[in-house]
Amino acid sequence: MFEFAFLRYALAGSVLAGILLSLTGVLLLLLDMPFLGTCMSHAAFLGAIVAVLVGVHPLAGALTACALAVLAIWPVAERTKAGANGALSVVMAGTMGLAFVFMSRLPGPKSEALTLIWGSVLTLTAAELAWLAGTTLVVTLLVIIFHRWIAAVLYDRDVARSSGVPVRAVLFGVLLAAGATVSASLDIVGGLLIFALLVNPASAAYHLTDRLKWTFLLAAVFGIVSTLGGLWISYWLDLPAGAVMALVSTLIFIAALAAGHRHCQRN
Amino acid sequence: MALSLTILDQVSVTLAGRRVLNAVSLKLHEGDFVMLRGANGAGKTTLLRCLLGMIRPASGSVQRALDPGETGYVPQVQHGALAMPLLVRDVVAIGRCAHLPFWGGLRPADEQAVDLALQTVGIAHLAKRPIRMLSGGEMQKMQLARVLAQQPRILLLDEPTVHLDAASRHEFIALLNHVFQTRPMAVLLVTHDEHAVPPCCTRELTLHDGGVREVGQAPLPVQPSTSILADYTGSAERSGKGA
Repeated sequence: MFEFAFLRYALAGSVLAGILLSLTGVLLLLLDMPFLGTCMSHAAFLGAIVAVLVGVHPLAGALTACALAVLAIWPVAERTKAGANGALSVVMAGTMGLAFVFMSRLPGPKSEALTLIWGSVLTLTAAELAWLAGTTLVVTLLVIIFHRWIAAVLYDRDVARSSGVPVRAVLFGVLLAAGATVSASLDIVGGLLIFALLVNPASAAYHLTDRLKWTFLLAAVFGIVSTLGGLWISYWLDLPAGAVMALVSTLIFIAALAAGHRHCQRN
Repeated sequence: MALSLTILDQVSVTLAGRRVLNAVSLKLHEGDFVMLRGANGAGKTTLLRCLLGMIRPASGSVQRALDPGETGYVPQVQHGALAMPLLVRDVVAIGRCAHLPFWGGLRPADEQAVDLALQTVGIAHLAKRPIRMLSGGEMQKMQLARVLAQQPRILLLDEPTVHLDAASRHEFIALLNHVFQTRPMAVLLVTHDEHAVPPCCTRELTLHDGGVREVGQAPLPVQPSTSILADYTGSAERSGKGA
Protein backbone atom coordinates (compact mmCIF):
# COMPACT_ATOMS: atom_id res chain seq x y z
CA MET A 1 0.00 0.00 0.00
CA PHE A 2 3.04 2.33 0.45
CA GLU A 3 3.51 2.81 -3.30
CA PHE A 4 0.66 5.32 -3.26
CA ALA A 5 1.71 8.87 -2.37
CA PHE A 6 -1.69 9.66 -0.86
CA LEU A 7 -1.28 6.77 1.58
CA ARG A 8 2.22 7.84 2.57
CA TYR A 9 0.91 11.36 3.17
CA ALA A 10 -2.02 9.94 5.15
CA LEU A 11 0.30 7.87 7.37
CA ALA A 12 2.69 10.75 8.00
CA GLY A 13 -0.20 13.13 8.59
CA SER A 14 -1.81 10.73 11.05
CA VAL A 15 1.38 10.39 13.10
CA LEU A 16 1.96 14.16 13.15
CA ALA A 17 -1.66 14.97 14.02
CA GLY A 18 -1.62 12.32 16.74
CA ILE A 19 1.39 13.97 18.38
CA LEU A 20 0.25 17.56 17.86
CA LEU A 21 -3.34 17.15 19.04
CA SER A 22 -2.37 15.17 22.14
CA LEU A 23 0.37 17.61 23.24
CA THR A 24 -2.01 20.55 22.90
CA GLY A 25 -4.72 18.45 24.51
CA VAL A 26 -2.60 17.94 27.65
CA LEU A 27 -2.14 21.71 27.97
CA LEU A 28 -5.86 22.41 27.57
CA LEU A 29 -6.91 19.57 29.87
CA LEU A 30 -4.56 20.59 32.68
CA LEU A 31 -5.56 24.24 32.33
CA ASP A 32 -9.11 22.94 32.84
CA MET A 33 -10.14 24.42 29.51
CA PRO A 34 -10.91 21.49 27.22
CA PHE A 35 -13.80 23.54 25.82
CA LEU A 36 -11.20 25.92 24.47
CA GLY A 37 -10.15 23.17 22.05
CA THR A 38 -13.74 22.59 20.98
CA CYS A 39 -14.25 26.30 20.59
CA MET A 40 -11.15 26.55 18.39
CA SER A 41 -12.20 23.58 16.28
CA HIS A 42 -15.60 25.14 15.64
CA ALA A 43 -13.99 28.47 14.79
CA ALA A 44 -11.61 26.70 12.39
CA PHE A 45 -14.53 24.86 10.84
CA LEU A 46 -16.43 28.13 10.37
CA GLY A 47 -13.35 29.79 8.84
CA ALA A 48 -12.78 26.88 6.47
CA ILE A 49 -16.43 26.92 5.31
CA VAL A 50 -16.27 30.67 4.66
CA ALA A 51 -13.00 30.14 2.76
CA VAL A 52 -14.65 27.52 0.54
CA LEU A 53 -17.56 29.91 -0.03
CA VAL A 54 -15.28 32.73 -1.18
CA GLY A 55 -12.96 30.41 -3.11
CA VAL A 56 -9.72 30.34 -1.09
CA HIS A 57 -7.92 27.42 0.55
CA PRO A 58 -9.82 26.15 3.64
CA LEU A 59 -6.60 26.14 5.71
CA ALA A 60 -6.23 29.90 5.19
CA GLY A 61 -9.79 30.42 6.39
CA ALA A 62 -9.31 28.12 9.37
CA LEU A 63 -6.11 29.93 10.42
CA THR A 64 -7.73 33.35 10.11
CA ALA A 65 -10.77 32.26 12.10
CA CYS A 66 -8.57 30.74 14.80
CA ALA A 67 -6.50 33.92 15.05
CA LEU A 68 -9.71 35.93 15.50
CA ALA A 69 -10.97 33.36 18.02
CA VAL A 70 -7.73 33.71 20.02
CA LEU A 71 -8.34 37.45 20.30
CA ALA A 72 -12.00 36.91 21.26
CA ILE A 73 -11.29 34.13 23.75
CA TRP A 74 -8.21 35.75 25.33
CA PRO A 75 -10.09 37.73 28.02
CA VAL A 76 -12.01 34.58 28.96
CA ALA A 77 -8.92 32.36 29.02
CA GLU A 78 -7.06 34.85 31.22
CA ARG A 79 -9.63 34.43 33.94
CA THR A 80 -9.32 31.59 36.35
CA LYS A 81 -11.39 28.51 35.75
CA ALA A 82 -14.76 29.66 37.09
CA GLY A 83 -17.06 30.76 34.31
CA ALA A 84 -14.56 30.32 31.50
CA ASN A 85 -16.06 27.10 30.14
CA GLY A 86 -19.57 28.60 30.14
CA ALA A 87 -18.42 31.58 28.05
CA LEU A 88 -16.51 29.28 25.69
CA SER A 89 -19.63 27.15 25.20
CA VAL A 90 -21.55 30.21 24.06
CA VAL A 91 -18.84 31.10 21.53
CA MET A 92 -18.81 27.45 20.39
CA ALA A 93 -22.56 27.36 19.82
CA GLY A 94 -22.45 30.65 17.89
CA THR A 95 -19.62 29.60 15.57
CA MET A 96 -21.25 26.23 14.87
CA GLY A 97 -24.56 27.89 13.99
CA LEU A 98 -22.82 30.36 11.68
CA ALA A 99 -20.84 27.55 10.03
CA PHE A 100 -24.01 25.67 9.10
CA VAL A 101 -25.67 28.87 7.86
CA PHE A 102 -22.71 29.52 5.52
CA MET A 103 -22.67 25.85 4.52
CA SER A 104 -26.28 26.10 3.40
CA ARG A 105 -25.20 28.91 1.04
CA LEU A 106 -22.57 26.78 -0.72
CA PRO A 107 -23.59 26.16 -4.33
CA GLY A 108 -23.79 22.63 -5.77
CA PRO A 109 -22.81 19.43 -3.94
CA LYS A 110 -21.37 20.15 -0.51
CA SER A 111 -18.66 17.48 -0.62
CA GLU A 112 -15.81 19.86 0.31
CA ALA A 113 -17.77 21.19 3.27
CA LEU A 114 -18.63 17.66 4.39
CA THR A 115 -14.92 16.80 4.20
CA LEU A 116 -14.28 19.61 6.69
CA ILE A 117 -16.85 18.10 9.05
CA TRP A 118 -15.67 14.48 8.90
CA GLY A 119 -12.08 14.94 7.79
CA SER A 120 -10.36 13.42 4.79
CA VAL A 121 -6.90 12.20 5.62
CA LEU A 122 -6.56 10.47 2.25
CA THR A 123 -6.75 13.76 0.36
CA LEU A 124 -3.94 15.41 2.33
CA THR A 125 -1.62 17.39 0.02
CA ALA A 126 2.14 17.86 0.33
CA ALA A 127 1.66 21.51 1.31
CA GLU A 128 -0.85 20.64 4.03
CA LEU A 129 1.47 17.92 5.32
CA ALA A 130 4.37 20.40 5.43
CA TRP A 131 2.26 22.87 7.41
CA LEU A 132 1.25 20.11 9.83
CA ALA A 133 4.89 19.00 10.25
CA GLY A 134 6.03 22.58 10.90
CA THR A 135 3.29 23.18 13.48
CA THR A 136 4.07 19.90 15.24
CA LEU A 137 7.77 20.74 15.40
CA VAL A 138 7.17 24.25 16.78
CA VAL A 139 4.62 23.16 19.41
CA THR A 140 6.82 20.23 20.54
CA LEU A 141 9.88 22.47 20.84
CA LEU A 142 7.93 25.10 22.79
CA VAL A 143 6.64 22.48 25.24
CA ILE A 144 10.20 21.16 25.76
CA ILE A 145 11.81 24.60 26.12
CA PHE A 146 9.21 26.11 28.42
CA HIS A 147 8.24 23.02 30.42
CA ARG A 148 9.19 24.68 33.74
CA TRP A 149 7.05 27.75 33.06
CA ILE A 150 4.23 25.51 31.81
CA ALA A 151 4.38 23.37 34.97
CA ALA A 152 4.23 26.50 37.13
CA VAL A 153 1.19 27.93 35.28
CA LEU A 154 -0.60 24.57 35.36
CA TYR A 155 0.05 24.29 39.10
CA ASP A 156 -1.25 27.73 40.08
CA ARG A 157 -1.30 30.95 38.08
CA ASP A 158 -0.84 33.23 41.11
CA VAL A 159 2.06 31.16 42.43
CA ALA A 160 3.62 31.13 38.95
CA ARG A 161 3.28 34.92 38.68
CA SER A 162 4.90 35.47 42.07
CA SER A 163 7.72 33.10 41.03
CA GLY A 164 8.61 35.35 38.11
CA VAL A 165 6.86 33.35 35.37
CA PRO A 166 5.30 35.44 32.55
CA VAL A 167 1.86 33.87 33.00
CA ARG A 168 0.07 35.97 30.37
CA ALA A 169 2.66 35.05 27.74
CA VAL A 170 2.37 31.34 28.57
CA LEU A 171 -1.45 31.42 28.38
CA PHE A 172 -1.38 33.38 25.13
CA GLY A 173 1.13 30.87 23.76
CA VAL A 174 -1.18 27.97 24.67
CA LEU A 175 -4.07 29.72 22.90
CA LEU A 176 -1.98 30.29 19.77
CA ALA A 177 -0.80 26.67 19.87
CA ALA A 178 -4.41 25.50 20.16
CA GLY A 179 -5.44 27.60 17.16
CA ALA A 180 -2.51 26.42 15.02
CA THR A 181 -3.04 22.80 16.09
CA VAL A 182 -6.71 22.73 15.22
CA SER A 183 -6.20 24.50 11.87
CA ALA A 184 -3.40 22.17 10.83
CA SER A 185 -5.29 19.03 11.87
CA LEU A 186 -8.70 19.93 10.44
CA ASP A 187 -8.14 17.84 7.32
CA ILE A 188 -7.25 14.72 9.29
CA VAL A 189 -10.29 14.22 11.51
CA GLY A 190 -12.60 17.09 10.65
CA GLY A 191 -14.12 19.89 12.70
CA LEU A 192 -16.67 17.77 14.52
CA LEU A 193 -14.38 14.98 15.71
CA ILE A 194 -11.13 16.84 16.37
CA PHE A 195 -12.20 17.33 19.98
CA ALA A 196 -11.93 13.58 20.58
CA LEU A 197 -8.24 13.56 19.66
CA LEU A 198 -7.56 16.67 21.73
CA VAL A 199 -9.14 15.29 24.88
CA ASN A 200 -9.04 11.47 24.86
CA PRO A 201 -5.28 10.76 24.58
CA ALA A 202 -4.52 13.52 27.10
CA SER A 203 -7.16 12.28 29.53
CA ALA A 204 -5.98 8.67 29.18
CA ALA A 205 -2.37 9.67 29.93
CA TYR A 206 -3.51 11.79 32.88
CA HIS A 207 -5.12 8.73 34.45
CA LEU A 208 -1.94 6.66 34.17
CA THR A 209 0.85 8.83 35.50
CA ASP A 210 1.75 11.40 38.13
CA ARG A 211 4.59 12.92 36.11
CA LEU A 212 4.01 15.85 33.77
CA LYS A 213 6.71 14.65 31.36
CA TRP A 214 5.12 11.20 31.14
CA THR A 215 1.68 12.74 30.68
CA PHE A 216 2.95 14.48 27.53
CA LEU A 217 4.83 11.40 26.28
CA LEU A 218 2.02 8.93 26.94
CA ALA A 219 -0.54 11.27 25.40
CA ALA A 220 1.60 11.51 22.25
CA VAL A 221 1.84 7.70 22.06
CA PHE A 222 -1.93 7.36 22.55
CA GLY A 223 -2.50 10.04 19.94
CA ILE A 224 -0.37 8.18 17.39
CA VAL A 225 -2.07 4.85 18.20
CA SER A 226 -5.48 6.52 17.80
CA THR A 227 -4.74 8.09 14.43
CA LEU A 228 -2.70 5.26 12.92
CA GLY A 229 -4.98 2.57 14.37
CA GLY A 230 -8.03 4.45 13.16
CA LEU A 231 -6.53 4.84 9.69
CA TRP A 232 -5.65 1.15 9.50
CA ILE A 233 -9.08 -0.06 10.68
CA SER A 234 -10.90 2.36 8.38
CA TYR A 235 -8.76 1.19 5.44
CA TRP A 236 -9.63 -2.48 5.96
CA LEU A 237 -13.26 -2.01 6.99
CA ASP A 238 -14.01 0.82 4.54
CA LEU A 239 -15.14 3.22 7.23
CA PRO A 240 -14.58 7.01 7.56
CA ALA A 241 -11.04 7.46 8.92
CA GLY A 242 -11.74 10.46 11.17
CA ALA A 243 -14.67 8.75 12.88
CA VAL A 244 -12.70 5.55 13.52
CA MET A 245 -9.75 7.58 14.91
CA ALA A 246 -12.14 9.23 17.36
CA LEU A 247 -13.53 5.82 18.35
CA VAL A 248 -10.08 4.29 18.88
CA SER A 249 -9.09 7.24 21.09
CA THR A 250 -12.28 6.74 23.11
CA LEU A 251 -11.45 3.05 23.61
CA ILE A 252 -7.94 3.98 24.75
CA PHE A 253 -9.43 6.40 27.27
CA ILE A 254 -11.82 3.74 28.61
CA ALA A 255 -8.95 1.25 28.94
CA ALA A 256 -6.81 3.84 30.75
CA LEU A 257 -9.69 4.66 33.06
CA ALA A 258 -10.01 0.98 33.95
CA ALA A 259 -6.27 0.52 34.44
CA GLY A 260 -5.55 3.93 36.00
CA HIS A 261 -4.78 4.75 39.60
CA ARG A 262 -6.41 8.12 40.08
CA HIS A 263 -9.60 6.52 41.41
CA CYS A 264 -7.68 5.89 44.66
CA GLN A 265 -6.78 9.56 44.93
CA ARG A 266 -6.37 10.67 48.49
CA ASN A 267 -7.98 14.11 48.29
CA MET B 1 17.35 51.85 58.99
CA ALA B 2 15.84 48.70 57.43
CA LEU B 3 15.17 48.79 53.70
CA SER B 4 11.53 49.38 52.67
CA LEU B 5 10.61 46.54 50.33
CA THR B 6 7.01 47.42 49.62
CA ILE B 7 4.93 50.47 50.32
CA LEU B 8 1.16 50.78 49.96
CA ASP B 9 0.37 54.49 49.96
CA GLN B 10 -3.29 55.50 50.42
CA VAL B 11 -4.44 52.52 48.35
CA SER B 12 -8.16 52.16 47.66
CA VAL B 13 -9.68 49.21 45.81
CA THR B 14 -13.27 48.82 44.64
CA LEU B 15 -14.50 45.37 43.60
CA ALA B 16 -17.97 44.82 42.09
CA GLY B 17 -19.05 48.29 43.24
CA ARG B 18 -17.93 47.75 46.85
CA ARG B 19 -15.04 49.70 48.40
CA VAL B 20 -12.89 46.87 49.78
CA LEU B 21 -9.78 48.85 50.72
CA ASN B 22 -10.07 52.49 51.72
CA ALA B 23 -6.91 54.61 51.71
CA VAL B 24 -4.75 51.83 53.18
CA SER B 25 -1.12 52.63 53.88
CA LEU B 26 1.37 49.93 54.82
CA LYS B 27 5.15 49.67 54.74
CA LEU B 28 7.03 46.38 54.86
CA HIS B 29 10.70 46.54 55.78
CA GLU B 30 13.33 43.86 55.72
CA GLY B 31 13.09 42.06 59.07
CA ASP B 32 9.36 42.80 59.57
CA PHE B 33 7.05 39.95 60.50
CA VAL B 34 3.56 41.40 60.22
CA MET B 35 0.36 39.57 61.07
CA LEU B 36 -2.84 40.81 59.47
CA ARG B 37 -6.21 39.75 60.81
CA GLY B 38 -9.73 40.59 59.73
CA ALA B 39 -13.19 39.14 59.30
CA ASN B 40 -14.23 37.27 56.16
CA GLY B 41 -14.59 39.74 53.31
CA ALA B 42 -12.60 42.42 55.15
CA GLY B 43 -10.20 42.66 52.19
CA LYS B 44 -7.19 40.72 53.44
CA THR B 45 -6.73 38.75 50.23
CA THR B 46 -7.37 41.90 48.18
CA LEU B 47 -4.56 43.62 50.06
CA LEU B 48 -2.26 40.67 49.35
CA ARG B 49 -3.20 40.73 45.69
CA CYS B 50 -2.35 44.45 45.58
CA LEU B 51 1.06 43.66 47.02
CA LEU B 52 1.50 40.89 44.43
CA GLY B 53 0.61 43.33 41.66
CA MET B 54 -2.46 41.33 40.62
CA ILE B 55 -4.95 44.12 41.38
CA ARG B 56 -4.54 47.69 40.23
CA PRO B 57 -5.81 50.10 42.90
CA ALA B 58 -8.51 52.65 42.05
CA SER B 59 -6.37 55.28 43.77
CA GLY B 60 -3.11 55.41 45.69
CA SER B 61 0.13 53.71 44.77
CA VAL B 62 2.02 50.46 45.33
CA GLN B 63 5.79 50.83 45.30
CA ARG B 64 8.04 47.79 45.24
CA ALA B 65 11.81 47.76 45.56
CA LEU B 66 11.79 44.23 44.21
CA ASP B 67 12.58 42.38 41.00
CA PRO B 68 10.14 39.84 39.51
CA GLY B 69 10.35 36.61 41.49
CA GLU B 70 11.48 38.29 44.72
CA THR B 71 8.00 38.02 46.24
CA GLY B 72 7.18 34.59 47.65
CA TYR B 73 3.51 33.68 47.90
CA VAL B 74 1.91 30.90 49.93
CA PRO B 75 -1.81 30.58 49.21
CA GLN B 76 -4.41 28.60 51.13
CA VAL B 77 -4.44 24.82 50.67
CA GLN B 78 -5.13 24.42 46.94
CA HIS B 79 -7.26 21.35 46.41
CA GLY B 80 -7.49 22.01 42.66
CA ALA B 81 -3.73 22.06 42.24
CA LEU B 82 -3.49 18.65 43.91
CA ALA B 83 -4.92 17.07 40.76
CA MET B 84 -1.87 18.09 38.69
CA PRO B 85 0.52 15.31 37.60
CA LEU B 86 3.43 16.73 39.58
CA LEU B 87 5.75 15.42 42.27
CA VAL B 88 6.59 17.38 45.42
CA ARG B 89 10.05 18.11 44.00
CA ASP B 90 8.53 19.51 40.79
CA VAL B 91 6.47 22.01 42.78
CA VAL B 92 9.40 23.06 44.97
CA ALA B 93 11.43 23.56 41.77
CA ILE B 94 8.82 26.10 40.58
CA GLY B 95 10.43 28.41 43.14
CA ARG B 96 13.59 28.43 41.00
CA CYS B 97 11.83 29.79 37.89
CA ALA B 98 12.98 33.35 38.54
CA HIS B 99 16.60 32.19 38.83
CA LEU B 100 16.64 30.03 35.70
CA PRO B 101 17.95 31.07 32.32
CA PHE B 102 15.51 31.39 29.43
CA TRP B 103 16.60 28.00 28.08
CA GLY B 104 17.18 24.72 29.88
CA GLY B 105 16.35 22.99 33.13
CA LEU B 106 17.67 23.17 36.67
CA ARG B 107 21.41 23.73 37.08
CA PRO B 108 23.38 22.04 39.90
CA ALA B 109 23.00 25.17 42.06
CA ASP B 110 19.23 25.09 41.53
CA GLU B 111 19.07 21.37 42.36
CA GLN B 112 21.01 22.11 45.54
CA ALA B 113 18.64 24.94 46.50
CA VAL B 114 15.64 22.64 45.98
CA ASP B 115 17.23 19.84 48.06
CA LEU B 116 18.09 22.25 50.85
CA ALA B 117 14.58 23.73 50.86
CA LEU B 118 13.08 20.23 51.13
CA GLN B 119 15.43 19.37 54.00
CA THR B 120 14.79 22.66 55.76
CA VAL B 121 11.06 22.05 56.10
CA GLY B 122 11.60 18.35 56.80
CA ILE B 123 9.96 16.87 53.70
CA ALA B 124 12.99 15.52 51.83
CA HIS B 125 11.46 12.04 52.17
CA LEU B 126 8.37 13.25 50.25
CA ALA B 127 10.34 14.60 47.27
CA LYS B 128 9.23 11.85 44.88
CA ARG B 129 5.66 11.66 46.15
CA PRO B 130 2.83 12.76 43.82
CA ILE B 131 1.23 15.91 45.22
CA ARG B 132 -2.22 14.30 45.08
CA MET B 133 -1.04 11.98 47.88
CA LEU B 134 -0.23 14.83 50.29
CA SER B 135 -2.18 15.78 53.40
CA GLY B 136 -3.08 19.44 53.99
CA GLY B 137 -0.16 19.89 56.40
CA GLU B 138 2.32 18.30 53.99
CA MET B 139 0.94 20.46 51.18
CA GLN B 140 1.64 23.66 53.12
CA LYS B 141 5.13 22.47 54.06
CA MET B 142 5.73 21.91 50.35
CA GLN B 143 4.58 25.50 49.69
CA LEU B 144 7.02 26.77 52.28
CA ALA B 145 9.80 24.72 50.71
CA ARG B 146 8.87 26.22 47.32
CA VAL B 147 9.22 29.79 48.54
CA LEU B 148 12.45 28.88 50.35
CA ALA B 149 13.86 27.60 47.06
CA GLN B 150 12.73 30.89 45.51
CA GLN B 151 14.75 32.85 48.11
CA PRO B 152 12.36 35.82 48.17
CA ARG B 153 12.91 39.13 49.93
CA ILE B 154 9.27 39.37 50.90
CA LEU B 155 6.96 36.50 51.80
CA LEU B 156 3.17 36.82 51.64
CA LEU B 157 1.04 34.08 53.21
CA ASP B 158 -2.73 33.99 52.68
CA GLU B 159 -4.28 32.06 55.58
CA PRO B 160 -1.84 29.17 55.10
CA THR B 161 -3.16 27.24 58.10
CA VAL B 162 -6.87 27.65 57.47
CA HIS B 163 -7.66 24.02 56.59
CA LEU B 164 -5.11 22.37 58.89
CA ASP B 165 -5.70 20.55 62.16
CA ALA B 166 -4.27 22.01 65.39
CA ALA B 167 -1.07 19.94 65.35
CA SER B 168 -0.28 20.75 61.71
CA ARG B 169 -1.09 24.43 62.36
CA HIS B 170 1.35 24.69 65.22
CA GLU B 171 4.00 22.80 63.29
CA PHE B 172 3.63 25.14 60.31
CA ILE B 173 3.80 28.28 62.44
CA ALA B 174 6.89 26.99 64.28
CA LEU B 175 8.53 26.21 60.94
CA LEU B 176 7.66 29.67 59.58
CA ASN B 177 9.14 31.19 62.71
CA HIS B 178 12.40 29.31 62.20
CA VAL B 179 12.57 30.20 58.51
CA PHE B 180 12.08 33.89 59.26
CA GLN B 181 14.91 33.81 61.79
CA THR B 182 17.41 32.63 59.19
CA ARG B 183 16.34 34.63 56.15
CA PRO B 184 16.74 38.39 55.75
CA MET B 185 13.22 39.08 54.48
CA ALA B 186 9.86 40.62 55.32
CA VAL B 187 6.81 38.47 56.07
CA LEU B 188 3.13 39.36 55.91
CA LEU B 189 0.97 36.61 57.37
CA VAL B 190 -2.78 36.87 56.83
CA THR B 191 -4.63 34.65 59.27
CA HIS B 192 -7.85 34.09 61.16
CA ASP B 193 -6.17 31.92 63.73
CA GLU B 194 -6.07 33.64 67.16
CA HIS B 195 -3.49 31.16 68.40
CA ALA B 196 -1.18 31.28 65.39
CA VAL B 197 1.12 34.02 66.66
CA PRO B 198 4.73 33.17 65.90
CA PRO B 199 7.18 34.37 68.55
CA CYS B 200 9.02 36.39 65.90
CA CYS B 201 5.97 38.49 64.99
CA THR B 202 6.94 42.16 65.13
CA ARG B 203 3.62 43.86 64.32
CA GLU B 204 0.00 42.87 64.43
CA LEU B 205 -2.59 44.64 62.30
CA THR B 206 -6.33 44.31 61.79
CA LEU B 207 -8.28 45.14 58.67
CA HIS B 208 -11.71 46.56 59.38
CA ASP B 209 -14.07 48.69 57.27
CA GLY B 210 -11.44 48.86 54.54
CA GLY B 211 -8.79 50.35 56.86
CA VAL B 212 -5.74 48.94 58.61
CA ARG B 213 -5.25 49.45 62.36
CA GLU B 214 -2.19 48.61 64.45
CA VAL B 215 -3.00 46.22 67.32
CA GLY B 216 0.18 46.41 69.37
CA GLN B 217 3.78 45.47 69.68
CA ALA B 218 4.40 41.75 69.70
CA PRO B 219 7.01 39.86 71.74
CA LEU B 220 10.67 40.07 70.78
CA PRO B 221 11.98 37.50 68.29
CA VAL B 222 13.40 34.22 69.53
CA GLN B 223 16.58 32.62 68.24
CA PRO B 224 16.34 29.65 65.88
CA SER B 225 17.17 26.22 67.18
CA THR B 226 18.13 24.29 64.07
CA SER B 227 21.53 24.50 62.45
CA ILE B 228 20.16 23.36 59.10
CA LEU B 229 18.22 26.62 58.79
CA ALA B 230 21.38 28.57 59.35
CA ASP B 231 23.11 26.41 56.74
CA TYR B 232 20.39 27.27 54.26
CA THR B 233 21.59 30.80 53.72
CA GLY B 234 24.93 30.61 55.44
CA SER B 235 23.66 33.28 57.83
CA ALA B 236 25.06 31.70 60.95
CA GLU B 237 25.57 35.07 62.55
CA ARG B 238 21.81 35.65 62.49
CA SER B 239 21.05 32.29 63.98
CA GLY B 240 22.38 30.24 66.88
CA LYS B 241 25.93 31.58 66.82
CA GLY B 242 24.85 35.04 67.68
CA ALA B 243 22.96 33.99 70.78
